[in-house]
Amino acid sequence: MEKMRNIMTLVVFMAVIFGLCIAFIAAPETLRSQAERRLLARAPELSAATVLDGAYMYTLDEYMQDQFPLREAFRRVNAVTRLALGRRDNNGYFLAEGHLSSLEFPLNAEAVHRNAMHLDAMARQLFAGLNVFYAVIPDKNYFLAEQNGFPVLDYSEMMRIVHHRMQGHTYIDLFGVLSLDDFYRTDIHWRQENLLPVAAQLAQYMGIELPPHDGHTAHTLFSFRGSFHGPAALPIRPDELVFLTNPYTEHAIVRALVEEHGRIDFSRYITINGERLPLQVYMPELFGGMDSYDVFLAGAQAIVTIEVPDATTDRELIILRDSFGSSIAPLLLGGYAKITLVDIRYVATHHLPMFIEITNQDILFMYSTIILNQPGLFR
Amino acid sequence: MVFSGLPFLYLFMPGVLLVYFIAPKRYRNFVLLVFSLAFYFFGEQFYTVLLLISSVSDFIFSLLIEKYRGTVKAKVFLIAAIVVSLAMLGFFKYIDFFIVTANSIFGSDIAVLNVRLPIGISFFTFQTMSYTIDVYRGRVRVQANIVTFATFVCLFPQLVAGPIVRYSDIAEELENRQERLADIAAGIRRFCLGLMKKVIIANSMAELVEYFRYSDERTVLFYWLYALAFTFQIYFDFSGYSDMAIGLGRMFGFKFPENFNYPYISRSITEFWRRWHMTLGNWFRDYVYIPLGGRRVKQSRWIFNIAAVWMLTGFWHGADWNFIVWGLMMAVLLVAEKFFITKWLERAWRWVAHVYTMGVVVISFVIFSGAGMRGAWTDLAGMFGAGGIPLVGTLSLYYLRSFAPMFVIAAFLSTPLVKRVGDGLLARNSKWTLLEPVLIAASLILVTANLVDGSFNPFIYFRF
Repeated sequence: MEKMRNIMTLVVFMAVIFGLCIAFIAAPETLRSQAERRLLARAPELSAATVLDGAYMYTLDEYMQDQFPLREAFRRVNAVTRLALGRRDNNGYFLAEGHLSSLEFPLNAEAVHRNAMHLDAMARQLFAGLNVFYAVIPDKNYFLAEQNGFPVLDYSEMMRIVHHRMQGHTYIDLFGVLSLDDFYRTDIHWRQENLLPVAAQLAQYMGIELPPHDGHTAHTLFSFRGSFHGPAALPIRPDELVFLTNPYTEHAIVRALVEEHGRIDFSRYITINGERLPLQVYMPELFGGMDSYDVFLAGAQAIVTIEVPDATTDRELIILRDSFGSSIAPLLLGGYAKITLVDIRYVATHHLPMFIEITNQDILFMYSTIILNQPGLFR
Repeated sequence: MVFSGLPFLYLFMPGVLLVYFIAPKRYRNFVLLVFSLAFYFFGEQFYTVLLLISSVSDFIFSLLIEKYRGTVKAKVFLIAAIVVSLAMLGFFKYIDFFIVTANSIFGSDIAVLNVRLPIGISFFTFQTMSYTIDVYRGRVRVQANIVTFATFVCLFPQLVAGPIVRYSDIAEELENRQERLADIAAGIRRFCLGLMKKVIIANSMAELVEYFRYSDERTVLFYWLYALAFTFQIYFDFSGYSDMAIGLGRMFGFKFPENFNYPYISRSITEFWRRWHMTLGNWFRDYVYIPLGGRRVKQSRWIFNIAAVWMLTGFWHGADWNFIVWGLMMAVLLVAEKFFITKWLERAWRWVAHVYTMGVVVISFVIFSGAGMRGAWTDLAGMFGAGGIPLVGTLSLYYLRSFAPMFVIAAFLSTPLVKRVGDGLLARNSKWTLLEPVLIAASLILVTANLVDGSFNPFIYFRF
């Protein structure tokens, strides 16, 4: 019995060590991790110089982590093991009520102050005399974290700071019209198909009339693995991504501020991964890329304009926004003839007059609590 | 390179095992030497020269000691060998500490040299010194084969984090060893156990320590969580590393001395030090404490001996004042236990002795891990609510809930209970042993999963 045990121990150990060693050496390199939305480390350069200065050894560990055989399966095993050992989160991500989320804590009051001050200064300097509205989008932890025993931002303190800084502008409450179900289970963002009440709330405050709710057609894309899905590595089935079209979104002309041939200008085309694509309100061809949420207005862009040729109004809107804005803006088409979306994380505030002609637009500052809580994002 | 890393587990280890076991017996020391130098070179390119200097220096001085045995020259060569080792250790580990201390005492303005500490220097200099001293004392035969001697000094399983293996421990195995199936299997078992201790438990505790260090929340609860987490981290990291070293040695036919024996079940600090980092304690006993006279001296001299040994023990762990204070604190406690505390503890309930010992251990590790003396005092003060800090906070409560099961597991595994239960099961039915390969595979999968996920995997011996 003892000898049998020793032989089996030896065989199992050697099989694992040598098996994974050979698999690692033999397997081809993987360029990127779809789950983690990042490029994977490439083989470190092996030369006398990189060996002698330690660079080769330094990067080998990272390379092996990224290129290890069965990497995703191992990551899943690790995540499940950690939770089985009592950990409440894995790498800062947690699973509660069927939703993945990330720990967002604590409130960075200084960052909220500065961000709100920046927005208020913009409103007063760039948009003086215009109708200025502001809305804060609660992150899903607002509906999820506290009741499940996770640390949670002090939202009331955050809103107190924002209201204090944004005095004189019209606040539109979105906390009351959202619930946990309005967010993807595997992603940070809200689900467009659930945002009609949000659009209605905005429309009511801004005094516009939107197309009827039943005038939308839903289009569904499978399988949407949101931004939490990969890093969390926890067992949860993917979402589906639904986008809503109507005659306004179908006929809209979309332009983005892009740099082409050394010139920065608005274009109806955008280049993604070397491919020149016509810009549209919805770009299902981007589904399955690094970030499937890019389906909405091609994702992160400094400035995007959406014009509705057959609009029955001449009102225009400028939305100062983060990524959440990409999916709500299409629902406001029809109420406005032109919507300009500006992301001041990618374009400096003092450059805006170069690209946007400010006339009599309505102005909406709409940011998520996560962005407001982070320092140094606004330029 | 560290044992608990993917390059070691899935490149280095298969390589060394393959080459070692297909090499003819007479070349196996050479194979180990080459792989050991490669192992060290992986982490310390330039400093590999130090390892070679240390090997060659003690090899030559020992030959000279043997040649001039019984003459004054032998003593001169012994002193020369010790001076070389201590000079190397003194320069690479302590020079900046000495400069900073001199500047603060004398008001001088000598620029610090920012010398980076070579990994494992405290271990391999102590090993080579012990060899040369033992040759001088006639306790071991001089080794005339440079490859065999360098294999002893550079042997990768024990090179960077101990145990401190003396030449006498493995002299016979260096010359002639058998790699038996039972030993290899026992080595695998021990290695996997150490790997689990380090990666699953110590790294988890290290995460909590990091959360504390990078958090703005300072509450009494968080200070205690930090203190307990570090106490478990250092034990499972260090003893896990020793287990891996002992296991690897066993696979290659070496029997290294044990380094830990459930120190957290101790009922006094004296007992704790008989169970914690035993090879270091034995080294200081044999090469410092006994030569100073041990206990066979006047009481005042004995107290001095204890203080000197423990000050040096603290200083060995790191070049900063908190390590010296930590060592001296141990000295005071050991003397106090000798005079009166032990008598009280013997009359007290057993749990009182445990609480006293672990209380002292936890506090001592807070001093040990502090950012200098100021940092250590801040941490200690925080544990007792100094400055009116709150008792609990949102984050500390969250981490308490998140880490409580791991604390329970760590506490449980710090005792011999698991081993006793396992032995009991085996005694009843030997078929349970066939579960072992499953556990080995499971441990490797769990550890690999953890490492592939890039989970926190610190190396805490950088200052030793």
